[in-house]
Amino acid sequence: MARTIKAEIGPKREIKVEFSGFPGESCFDEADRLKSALKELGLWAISVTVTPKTSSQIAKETATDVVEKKKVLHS
Amino acid sequence: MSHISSYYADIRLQTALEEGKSVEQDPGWEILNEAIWACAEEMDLDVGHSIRDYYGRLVYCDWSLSGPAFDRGIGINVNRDTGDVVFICDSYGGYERISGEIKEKVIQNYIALCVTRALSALNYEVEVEEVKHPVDGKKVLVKGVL
Repeated sequence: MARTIKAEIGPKREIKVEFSGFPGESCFDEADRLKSALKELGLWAISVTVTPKTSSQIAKETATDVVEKKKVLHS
Repeated sequence: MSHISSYYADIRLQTALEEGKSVEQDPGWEILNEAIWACAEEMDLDVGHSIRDYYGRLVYCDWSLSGPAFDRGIGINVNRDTGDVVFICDSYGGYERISGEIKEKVIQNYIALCVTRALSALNYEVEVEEVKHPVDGKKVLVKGVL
């Protein structure tokens, strides 16, 4: 599964960032890398909330990556 | 595991200052310039370097945004010692709404540009989309895929 970061930037300085497809706890490391990269550009992202995804949310994301296999006739 | 984080954004151009350089050499300076010009284009405003107060007195600033319906203008200054970004406007007389709207748009543009550049620097393939909502206003969606 591809690792994806989706950021939603609202008009009141709020940023909602969704991390998907990161194995284990690596999404938190990636969040730190992103915060550091933003800080270098002059944007200080102050954490307000951190919500781990539920197992059903993760399962749903993973399910979208399953490729349907077609049966092929061998002559 | 994956997660959802929410942040509050503050702008402070300190990277160059920490390296002993001037704030004009900060990567954020050019991003702020781009965010201001994008706001000007979006709201049909002029970019300059001065605003006027209620009495018509000229106040110089790093950037200003003004237009026919808002000739007094709003100014943007970057503190040379701290890198703090300050918006200045004499909003007395009914200019609170328009000045607030311009300020919000400049900041939102700045955040969107920073997130896009940061994700690119981390080797993500980035897509940007703007969504206009009648109640919540404009939202910018930035998606990075690794």
